[in-house]
Amino acid sequence: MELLEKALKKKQSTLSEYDSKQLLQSYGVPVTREYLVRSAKEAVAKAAELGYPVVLKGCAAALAHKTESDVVRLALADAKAVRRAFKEIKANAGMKLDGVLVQEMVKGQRELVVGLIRDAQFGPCVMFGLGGIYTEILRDVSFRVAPLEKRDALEMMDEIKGKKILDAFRGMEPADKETLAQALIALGEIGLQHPQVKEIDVNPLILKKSGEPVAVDALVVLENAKKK
Amino acid sequence: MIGASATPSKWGFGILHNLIQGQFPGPIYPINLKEKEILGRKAYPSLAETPGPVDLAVIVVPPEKVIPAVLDCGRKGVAAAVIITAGFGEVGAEEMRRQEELSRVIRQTGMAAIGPNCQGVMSAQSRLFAQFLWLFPPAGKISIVSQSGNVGGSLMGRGMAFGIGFSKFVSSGNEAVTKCHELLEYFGEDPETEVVMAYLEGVPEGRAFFRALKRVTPRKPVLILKGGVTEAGSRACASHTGILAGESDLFASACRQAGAVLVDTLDDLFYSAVTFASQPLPRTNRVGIVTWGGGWGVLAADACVREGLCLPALPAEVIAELNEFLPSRWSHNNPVDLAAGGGPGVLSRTLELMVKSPAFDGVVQLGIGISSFLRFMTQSSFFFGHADRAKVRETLLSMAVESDKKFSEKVMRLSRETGKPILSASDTASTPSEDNVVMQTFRQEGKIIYPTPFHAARCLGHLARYARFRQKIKGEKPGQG
Repeated sequence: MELLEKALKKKQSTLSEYDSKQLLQSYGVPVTREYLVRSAKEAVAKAAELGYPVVLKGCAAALAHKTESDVVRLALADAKAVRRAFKEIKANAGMKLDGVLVQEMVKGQRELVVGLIRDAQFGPCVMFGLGGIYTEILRDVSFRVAPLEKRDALEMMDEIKGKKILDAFRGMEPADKETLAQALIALGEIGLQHPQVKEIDVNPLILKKSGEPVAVDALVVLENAKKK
Repeated sequence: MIGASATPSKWGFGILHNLIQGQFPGPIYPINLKEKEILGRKAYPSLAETPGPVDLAVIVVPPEKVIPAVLDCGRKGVAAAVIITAGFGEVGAEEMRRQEELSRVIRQTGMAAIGPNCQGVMSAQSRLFAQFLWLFPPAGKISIVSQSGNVGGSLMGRGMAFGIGFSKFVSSGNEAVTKCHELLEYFGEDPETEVVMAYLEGVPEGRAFFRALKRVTPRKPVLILKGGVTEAGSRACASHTGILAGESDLFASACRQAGAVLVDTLDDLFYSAVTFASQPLPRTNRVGIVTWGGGWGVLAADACVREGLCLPALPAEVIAELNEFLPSRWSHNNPVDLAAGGGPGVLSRTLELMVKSPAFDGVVQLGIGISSFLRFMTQSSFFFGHADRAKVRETLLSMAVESDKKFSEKVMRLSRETGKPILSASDTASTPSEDNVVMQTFRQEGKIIYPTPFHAARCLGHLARYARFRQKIKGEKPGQG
């Protein structure tokens, strides 16, 4: 994969959000519609194309903690807000950015996490669980060894304590388990096919009201042999 | 037997003793430089001087003499070796180098090898007891791979106590050449093995282990007891996924994913192995409970629910039929509690109705057998101690034995006829077995009486989970197949 080779050549230890999602999308994981732009004018044009409200995020491989660096602006309602956000992000980043991500604002109250790790004993393993801030607070997750069969993916969804989040609830449709299962299988495939990929976090993976899952943020950690 | 000894305190004596005691049908050659004869067998100063071919060498010489012994085996054309000797990788870095050298030498000879640092191997059907522990369980369908010799010993000892048979036992030791996952695969292929149990402490080749499990579990249940706390959080991680992986039990996840049955304790391991070897798999997790008295029924219901089993309500036709012959105080619900009402005939009819009802695919039956318990309770009674009444007691006891026998046979027959598992728990499991007619009847079919409702529910839970796994890999819905 060209994207990975380029990053490894540059001795990056992570992929940027944009590149992480490109990788995931190429394996069929549904991700937010987004564009990487370099000017405020371009940002406004893409925002109009996506439809308001939109999200703007600073984007660079070295930018692992976007919220802490204050380079995320949510729910931007119009061109004026986009222009202001663009300016602020550039000012706050404190580093050279690849650009600024203009992203559709995904609505959904149910946040999940999916991920990949490379275990010393079992090799690539896939994780599924509650996302957003609940990942760290509740630590309600399950694991499977890659490659995953569909049955494994469905079982790991059934294994978390908060599994009811996947059912119909207060007017929200049940989760599209078929697509979720495909995403989990895909993560395992990435792990098996790319030994350079050390870990992946997709957090949050938001369930829309329709039950459709979308990767809203993603981080791919690379195994950079030279950097140790 | 390389390193056979005439000194009873030595391993080289114990293993030779057990080979002979176990009645191994082929020739046994003790190898010892000084002795002419050990335990009535002609001893040889070297392997080279033994007559005829040798299938298996058991090596119990000091660590520095193990590699020369293996080389001797290579020259003699020995097919396999069990290296009992300790003092290899388990000790330190220098000894680890010795173990690596040993592995290299073994691979050069092309021999199969178990160990080093192990308790031995056992094959009951072949009457091969090449092990240090003086244990001779009857032949059966359960095989054991154990990374601990004494855990294997505990299991075989229990087998002997309960009349439960084993096929093979391998104490895998340091696994210098043959790894535990290869042994699992071997048991998967072995026609004499129907149930595989494993005690494991470490599985360095995790992926190979995972693949081996996946190949065996569709055909045979593999029961795993893992010793040693999982190493948590030791890897450096940049992601939440990595941190959470460090905290969670990936070993357990991998085992479940591969269809293995995970058990918690030695007890759990033993009882569940016996259950898999003697009970049919249930079609679903719907369970009926029949109890002689209330408390055991309540405990069984709680334990079943905890095991993820389902306790459906009694179908109307079962209630109607039970009303015909049960005293009116019976529970009218699942668990069916007879409330100590009626004799053994009533219990028998109730059980039959429950087992044959399509509402249930497995039954937990509580309170089987009264005779041995009655004997125990009345043994020091001053009332029955009176000469005139001792005879009455004997008559009562023999009647109890008769009805126990009849009921036990009925339980066996019902399970056979319906193909449903019936797990019986009773205090009779804890009373001496010599005149325990219930235990004897169960033993004849390789079955066991569970000591508590918890044990029965736990084992039925394992059966149901494994049955579901088998259905899933065939793409069947619950209750199909």
